[in-house]
Amino acid sequence: MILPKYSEFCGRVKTLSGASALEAIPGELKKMNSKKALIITDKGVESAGLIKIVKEAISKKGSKLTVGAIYDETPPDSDYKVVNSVASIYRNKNCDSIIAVGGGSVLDTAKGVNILVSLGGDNVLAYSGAGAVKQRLKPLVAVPTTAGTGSEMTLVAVIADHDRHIKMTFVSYFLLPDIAVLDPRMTKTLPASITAFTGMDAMTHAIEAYFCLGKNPMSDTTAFKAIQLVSKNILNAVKNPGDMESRLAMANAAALAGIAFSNSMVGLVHNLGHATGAVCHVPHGVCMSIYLPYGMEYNLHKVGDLIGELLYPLAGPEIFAKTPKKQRPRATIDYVRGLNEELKKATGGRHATALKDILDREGKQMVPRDAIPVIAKNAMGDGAKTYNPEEQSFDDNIMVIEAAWEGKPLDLKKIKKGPKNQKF
Amino acid sequence: MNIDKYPELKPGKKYIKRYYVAIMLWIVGRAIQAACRLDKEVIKEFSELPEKFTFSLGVLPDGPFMIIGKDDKGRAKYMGWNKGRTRFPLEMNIKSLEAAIKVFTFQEGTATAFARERFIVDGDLGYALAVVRVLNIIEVYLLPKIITKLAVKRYPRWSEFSPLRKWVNRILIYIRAFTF
Amino acid sequence: MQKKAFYSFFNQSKYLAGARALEHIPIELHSYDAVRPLVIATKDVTASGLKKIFVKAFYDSDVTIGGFYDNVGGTAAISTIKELRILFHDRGCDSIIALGHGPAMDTAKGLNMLVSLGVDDIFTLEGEDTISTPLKPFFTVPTAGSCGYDMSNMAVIEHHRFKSDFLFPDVVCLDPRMTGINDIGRAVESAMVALTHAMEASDSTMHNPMNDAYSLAAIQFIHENLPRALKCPRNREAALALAYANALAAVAFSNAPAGAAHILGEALNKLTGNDPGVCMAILLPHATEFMVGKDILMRDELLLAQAGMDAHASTPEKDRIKESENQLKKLMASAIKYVPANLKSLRIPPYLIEQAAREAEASGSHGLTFKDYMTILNNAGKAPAVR
Repeated sequence: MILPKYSEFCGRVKTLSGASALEAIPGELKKMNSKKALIITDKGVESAGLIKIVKEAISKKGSKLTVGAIYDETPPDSDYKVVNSVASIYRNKNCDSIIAVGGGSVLDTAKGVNILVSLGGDNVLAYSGAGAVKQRLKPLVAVPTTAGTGSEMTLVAVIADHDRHIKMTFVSYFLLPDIAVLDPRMTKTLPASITAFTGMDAMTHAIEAYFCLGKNPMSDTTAFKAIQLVSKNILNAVKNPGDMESRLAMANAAALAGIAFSNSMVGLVHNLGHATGAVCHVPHGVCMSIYLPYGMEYNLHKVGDLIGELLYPLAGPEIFAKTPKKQRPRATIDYVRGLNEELKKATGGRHATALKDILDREGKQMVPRDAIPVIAKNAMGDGAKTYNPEEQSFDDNIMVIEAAWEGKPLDLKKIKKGPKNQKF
Repeated sequence: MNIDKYPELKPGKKYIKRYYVAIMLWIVGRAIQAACRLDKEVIKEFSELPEKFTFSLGVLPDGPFMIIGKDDKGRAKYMGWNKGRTRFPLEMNIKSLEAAIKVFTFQEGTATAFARERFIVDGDLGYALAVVRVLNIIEVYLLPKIITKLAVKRYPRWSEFSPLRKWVNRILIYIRAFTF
Repeated sequence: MQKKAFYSFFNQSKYLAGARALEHIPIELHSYDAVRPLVIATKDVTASGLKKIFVKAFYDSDVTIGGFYDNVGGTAAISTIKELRILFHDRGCDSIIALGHGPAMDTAKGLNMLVSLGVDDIFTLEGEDTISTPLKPFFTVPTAGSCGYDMSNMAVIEHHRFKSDFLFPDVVCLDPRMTGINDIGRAVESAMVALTHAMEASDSTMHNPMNDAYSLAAIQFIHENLPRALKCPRNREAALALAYANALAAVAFSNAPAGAAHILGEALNKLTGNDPGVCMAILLPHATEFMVGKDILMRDELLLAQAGMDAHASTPEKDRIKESENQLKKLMASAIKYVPANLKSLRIPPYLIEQAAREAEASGSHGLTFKDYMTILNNAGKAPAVR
């Protein structure tokens, strides 16, 4: 186990996991003296019937919990005006807790609402920045509906100010949800392509957490477990969506990966992925699956040993034992590419393996070739590159994005290499 | 229990380390100002920052700091070491004096310091990255290669940073930084 | 993953581990809006020069130590806790830091209950989940040597037991200057307690991926670093790793039911005064072997944590559990100087052995009977020394 010279770790969210985990919510909220919850969600989750399931689960016999209100108009990009207005709903209905059911933007909105209703005021932007929130907030329960972004485990909320075209970051351990509920009913109806790319999102979080600069023992162990769970379950979750065991395993994997990356940070894959998402509006998980093998190739000279170790949780002990140590890094990268190909087959071609093949609902290409320099430039302003083992310049970004666009492996000789063998 | 046996302990000061960090911050601040009149990359980075942009880099809780702003011509200007109660659009704070010593004695490069949670960044991360890129360039100028290599992820190649550019600008930056 | 099994997992603590970790404490206190901690330390802290290092770490910060109480002895005492309340209020403290090992942490947890909850008698809170509101910010700075409860959600004060998620430390600061080993015997005993807790938590029928991450990390740390520390107690990295293992094992222990080796070890300690770590270490291989026989399996993931990826992968699947047992025996053998091979060497009278088994059965854990516990004790009694 690598014990870095200095590292920090915190995984402070209470996790409830199981086929009936939702039913445990009223008991937990009762312990926190809460009687009336505000449910925050979005239209997609609501129309998939998930809110109905949540409401039924938390109203079973013996539950003293009531639902004060349901807000289901959370936009795909959390907005401060929405946060401010939902806080008013919370107050008007005398709620004393929040249950956030959805993905990243629902969670961020809920975190923002929780700040306002706990600390007072009518504009959440007053609390932006690192460490501005210094006291415990009201109870917040996170129920993720994808597996997933892991945002139920992160201490960051990103809320946009669309008037000024900026995104405000809120960072504090007090923003963490009190409870994360991993219930397979929440992802059971997830379509195959979304299951595939959100699963690869979790995989990317875990893999990058394992070799990026913030690596530490606990992020390693949680990442390792997450990779094992994704590898064993992702294809089955795509092919047999009703298999609750696979769904639960993927939910656990996403949560573990969320803990891992929020403590160890991420690197090139997220850096280029965020930029591609911002410029071309490609869903986050799609970018992650495509860039993941490139992230490993780019950093091979720095953290090849670690990438080689990943063959174990990915492919299992038998293949690990059979593969000579020197060949393991390449075997890991090939395994991930192979997994992407299998997911492509399992989703009828919808899981893209190259940027040029990403299509929107109308079948139109989402990442034109001339967007590459724009993406490369945007990536220069994204914080994830700080923790990537190798330096990334504008030209380096162009090289990687072009390879990912074509779907061809990186030419390792073209990578400008700093000192080999990263020390932690 | 005689509680007077257990008095309160007010924090002392490590004066030598404080002065060392203060001097290093002063040198870096002045060097940034000088480099912004000489180095094309630094000029470009600053031109892309907003007008009237200011940032502070220093040690919590109360300094020393380095404050940099933009003058009327859009160039970097060293604005002193005293932050007072001002909140800057970008604040890059090192959590403790000992962590700052690690950074300024090059035991921990910038990326390593971030990975080891020595920094708190408050403000736009994109601007913070621009500042880190400028700091990397300044380190190439101010320090011999053997030390800079400890501080940066990848020492620039000749094709990216010609020896001529490095040596000419190095001399000029040193002159400008230490003269008024 | 166990099919549809429900689990609940929680850990409050944030870990700061490594060089200059102490110097991060002021900033961490700030994030809780705290600037005046009361420090509670065991006696050995000042004697070994650690007080000076600790206090210097606060230089150039804006945190004033409200008081540094360094007189905690062998156990936490309610009279001390009540006196500390006076000191806490007199100095206007807003947080508590426990420095040292076991009794300091228990004292600090007791004090925190007293000053945070407005009760006069903390013994009314004895038991599980009796606390319903958060306490004041509580940090721990462990030195080498832990009793297994220090960084858990439990406290033991004058034989009264408290268990609540609100008792977890908010921050655990592991600084190599503090965790250096002065007494290798004590470090070994702590490592054995941690190993027992971690292994039994991962064996238990209620194991889950979250708790496994903590228990397997602890097991790996101990297997990799205990031999290194035994060879060279001055090895700071090994000492830090063992301290980290203590902290992680405490979390695993907090989130799983106590296992047979723990229950018997504690019973023997109570009845005979023998160190609980030594007792648990002797009992652990026999308890796990017994559980394997009862189909509460040792999972082959344990071998991965004990011996690493290459050893695990190259061991045929059918042999992994046996190899895991061997690894455990090998580790015990390396510590033979501090952990006797069998219970016989502790010369415990048979009537006390039986009494321990009876008390263990009364605890009701795992549904084991008096006969089961006696089997484990007898196996541990006559086990030959492993070379």
